[in-house]
Amino acid sequence: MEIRSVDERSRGAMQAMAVMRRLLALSLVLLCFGASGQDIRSPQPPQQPLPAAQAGAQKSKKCDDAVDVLSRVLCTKTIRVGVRTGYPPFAFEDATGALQGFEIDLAHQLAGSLGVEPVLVVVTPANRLALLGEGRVDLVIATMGHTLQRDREALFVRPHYYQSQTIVLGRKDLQIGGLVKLRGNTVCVTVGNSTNAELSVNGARLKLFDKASSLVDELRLGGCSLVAQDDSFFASYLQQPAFAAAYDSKFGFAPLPWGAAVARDGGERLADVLALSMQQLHISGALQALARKHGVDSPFLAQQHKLWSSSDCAQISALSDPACVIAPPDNQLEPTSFAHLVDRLEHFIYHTTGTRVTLAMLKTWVAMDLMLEGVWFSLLLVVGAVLATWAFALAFGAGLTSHKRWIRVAMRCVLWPMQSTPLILLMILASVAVGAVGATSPLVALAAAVLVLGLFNGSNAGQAVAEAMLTLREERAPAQPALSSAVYRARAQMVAFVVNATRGSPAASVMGVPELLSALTDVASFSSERITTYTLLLIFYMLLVAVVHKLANVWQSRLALSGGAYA
Amino acid sequence: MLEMLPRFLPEFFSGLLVNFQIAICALLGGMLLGAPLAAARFHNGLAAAPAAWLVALMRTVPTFVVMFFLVNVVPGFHLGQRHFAMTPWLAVVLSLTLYAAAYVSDHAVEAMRQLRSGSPVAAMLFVMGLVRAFFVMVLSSGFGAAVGVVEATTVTLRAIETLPKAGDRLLLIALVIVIFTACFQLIYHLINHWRGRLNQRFHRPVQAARLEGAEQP
Repeated sequence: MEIRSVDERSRGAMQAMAVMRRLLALSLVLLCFGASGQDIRSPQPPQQPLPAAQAGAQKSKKCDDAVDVLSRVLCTKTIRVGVRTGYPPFAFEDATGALQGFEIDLAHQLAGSLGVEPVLVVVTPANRLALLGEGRVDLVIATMGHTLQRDREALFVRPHYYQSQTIVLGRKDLQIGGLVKLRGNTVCVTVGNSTNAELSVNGARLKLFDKASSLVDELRLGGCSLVAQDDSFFASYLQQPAFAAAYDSKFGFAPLPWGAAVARDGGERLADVLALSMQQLHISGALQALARKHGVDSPFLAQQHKLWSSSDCAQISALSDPACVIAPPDNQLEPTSFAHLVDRLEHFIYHTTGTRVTLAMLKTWVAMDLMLEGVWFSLLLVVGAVLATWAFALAFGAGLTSHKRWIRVAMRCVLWPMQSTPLILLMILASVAVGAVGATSPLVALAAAVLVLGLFNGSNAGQAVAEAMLTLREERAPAQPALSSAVYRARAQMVAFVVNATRGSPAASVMGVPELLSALTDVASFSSERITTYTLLLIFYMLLVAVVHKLANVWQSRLALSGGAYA
Repeated sequence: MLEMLPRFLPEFFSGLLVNFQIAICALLGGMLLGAPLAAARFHNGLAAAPAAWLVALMRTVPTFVVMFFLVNVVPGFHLGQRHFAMTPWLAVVLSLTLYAAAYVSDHAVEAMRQLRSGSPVAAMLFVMGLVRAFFVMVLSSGFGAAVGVVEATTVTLRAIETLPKAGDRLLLIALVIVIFTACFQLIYHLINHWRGRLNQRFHRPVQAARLEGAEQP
């Protein structure tokens, strides 16, 4: 029964394929017929000696004059396809230097469906759309995600031929359930990835890198425990047995359909014909076969095969049916209402000083919210750290000079580790302790950070107070000097450790406190702008330290003025 | 947790070596930068005010943020014919160098003043201060964990992540803190011991000489 139903389904699919092939052939004839009557425009001479230009040189003058891309392709019997290289298993050079991969084979199949020869032109993510717009390539199949924003620059062929997603990958022994479980974890990402905003909004701490290959290096060296990147990037790595044995994908998010694209100007009919071809490739299972051949693991292709083979989508009209084709995601962050003013300000600064400044943190609401939250948390953190340092200094000063031996011993047992352990390790200890009791909110992390900063600096300042107290006792024996006199004597050290607490406060970012360093790192991760962002961050913290230093010095001066009362 | 210790401890101590390397380089850099600034401030010439201003600026610089600034903003720099790429390791060294330079400058000025007033003890205390600053920098180099330097804290962090139970994690951190405390308290006690001996060696003869001088007619 089961076998029969499968047979029936495949017979139905075969019939659908036969119908589609006939329709495709008919469409091609009609389109070619229509193409013969196209307008002729003056040719655009190539501006640079690129491979695309070399390919184009083979064309006759008459063919070049065709405005419609399909006409030109059919006339020259060649289609210039922009493809990537160095991105296995999608497109890469083999040992002989020949281009291989899933996308290369797809380019051959699409060219074959048009009855023309593909001329492969190597493109990069930076120039692929520009080359298409300038007419140096007719088609781009180059690991390009289809987004609403890119729809303005190119015409995407639908159905899509692949769907990637951002995956979080890490060592196999790490257990991360999903995006919401990332809070407090450090994830290494590449700058400029739009999905970074989603990671930061879910509380992940981001560590930035310029190149995706650096993520793999850091993963292997131990600098990163978790990395986030497009799954297609990791496809070749996960085919390596050693890599696959050590690391696995924890979860995926932000699916992004990949599309072949043609020029917006004159590419409409080519897109229509290629859409038919792509539909056929899905229905026939040819794309799945290609994926298997190149080791591309894609449940998406199986799902698309099923979809396009269904009676609802196996028709030409389905190519524009929202139930069959995937809508491109909108990955543009919502701009602030004053983003245009920020742009003007940037231009003004550039024209008056010659310095290019990018205020990315003011241009989108996500960035703006992150920054404001960061400033607020930084101020709270510094105020808390200063007060806690003060309080712990008094407590340690009193405890270390207590007349009760057990109090002195207890204080010393706390003081020694505080003086000998890296601050960042104490932060991690607090973070683990807080996590162990299930408290993971930013405010709890802030309170824990304040406690650590206060203990770390207050214990050292308290020791100075205690030393001052001991010298006072020696000088004034048998009288018992007050703690305020010891604080007066150790005031310079108190100020030094209060300032130190302010300087060390950004380290709280490792505990998941969303202070400004953490916030602006997140902003830089999706805005691609780092120079202005980190310069402003440095200025902010230097000002904060300077203000605390000034206030502490004012306190010290006042104490000196009323010194007679304490000394 | 016990089964991971044979693997963890060698990695931890090799990570600690990286902390020491960073601190040595930062201290050397700090001395190279801080000594001329101290000399300029001490001689009170034209360069005194800018030097004092520069040192004050370096004191306000938060090491942790500078490290991020260098990693993200400065791609590298040229020193003579050689180009240095800004690796996380170098960023930590340079950010600590600023701290060390301010420290060296402040304490060297004080030591020179004491030397001029005839107190060699204070000058010797400068050397002790440098040793103390060195160990402070060993601890501060743990900040490198945040930018991907594989040092002792990073190794600990990596090991913690492999432990599923919070109790085991806390135990491992406690063990590392005990190791740090034992090592560094021993070092601090040695420093204090040497300082005491230096005091005895230099301070007493100076005091005796002063007393003798006072007794002369």
